Amino acid sequence: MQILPTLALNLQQPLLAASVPLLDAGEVAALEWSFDTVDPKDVPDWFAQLLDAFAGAGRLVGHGVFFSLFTGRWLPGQGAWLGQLAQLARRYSFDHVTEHFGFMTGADFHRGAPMGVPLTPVTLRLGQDRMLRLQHAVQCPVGLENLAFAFSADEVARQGDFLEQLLVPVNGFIILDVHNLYCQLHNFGVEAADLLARYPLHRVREIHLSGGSWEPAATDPRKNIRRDTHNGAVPSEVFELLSLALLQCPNAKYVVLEQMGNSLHSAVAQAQFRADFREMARRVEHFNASAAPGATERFLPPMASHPLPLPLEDADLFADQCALSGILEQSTTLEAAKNALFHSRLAHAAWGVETWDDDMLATAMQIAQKWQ
Amino acid sequence: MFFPHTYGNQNKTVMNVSKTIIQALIIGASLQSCVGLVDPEATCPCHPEDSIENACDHTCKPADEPFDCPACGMG
Repeated sequence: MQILPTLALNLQQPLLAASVPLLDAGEVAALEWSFDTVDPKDVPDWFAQLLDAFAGAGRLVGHGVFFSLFTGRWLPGQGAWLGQLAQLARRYSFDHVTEHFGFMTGADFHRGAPMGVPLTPVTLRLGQDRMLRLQHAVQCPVGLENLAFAFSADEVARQGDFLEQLLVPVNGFIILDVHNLYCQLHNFGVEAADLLARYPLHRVREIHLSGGSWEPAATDPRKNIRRDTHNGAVPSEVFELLSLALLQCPNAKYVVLEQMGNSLHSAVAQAQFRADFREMARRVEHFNASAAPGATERFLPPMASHPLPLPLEDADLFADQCALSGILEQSTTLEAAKNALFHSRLAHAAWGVETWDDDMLATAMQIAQKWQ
Repeated sequence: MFFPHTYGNQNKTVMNVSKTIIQALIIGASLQSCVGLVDPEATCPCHPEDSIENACDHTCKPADEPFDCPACGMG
């Protein structure tokens, strides 16, 4: 199976302007579309035609942002999100559909910042339930992206194994976002080989690359925190991570470049974006040319005919998430947030708030307060 | 349940999109100010009584960007 250099393309004018030369030259082998960042009725014909062209070749993949997989309650918005996705999946014949690990902070749990959850049997069952619903809606392979943000090194170390357990029932796959790994390598001082070894790399069907940004750490301005903000050029270290990952992901099919349109207004930024895409494609083509024919695992859904059970819910988890979102959004200082956490329902519980890194907690506050 | 699926040519990584589609994309993108990532709380500076999404018929605002109203150019 050849790996396809893929572009994450959405209806953002600067991103479209940056991408047209690549599309015109036939350099983009596949498209990824974040279908839930726009109302389907607002998709213009000219964009739908482009999606159709790639879908017709079996080279269109869907990438959701707002499902909020691990929200403890089953919210009306989640059912509506799945219903809309089911219609889109019939319309566009996605080769696969993906979402993100974690839950969204924010008032309605659909807008906000993705945060992790305790890796427990409760969250495992809830996540498996949501993946089953996602698969039922789209009737094609489904996958999950590793999360960039983590509160602790333990969370970083355990995410790969937890993803494996989540995905087994639906024969799902992983999007391995190597910029997300880069964030974790920097923020927690982990070695790339060690972190990759903690992931079930045979489940990787898609790899993401992007740029990001540096923020001064709250406790030490000499230290920086890496953020997955998708607003800059791809660092050379991330390209190296791509090459390393390609060697270890025998079922990879798509390698995707992502960048936010609002960071691509200038001609210089657009040229850099195209240079990043071409460097990504060069590495993919080099791998394609040198690698022996790989496995052809398609992550097809298992045969199933029984109706879906009622959605799983966990009131305690939901109450924890509401408490955490409130603390992150409303605390004005790091100390205030720690004090609130240590006297909240999250203290001395599976969340492990006592072990959270101060700088990452401060970063979570920034993210949550930006997106509340 | 059986999930039929069509896969593309697995041995080619190029994807030639028709010139017609590319031309439509160029024209469409140049006319479309922006769509997606709407901030539903934002108000249009030219039509403050309404949200940006509703104030300008085909336009919405990426949440992080300054807004320029395509109807009157103010922002």
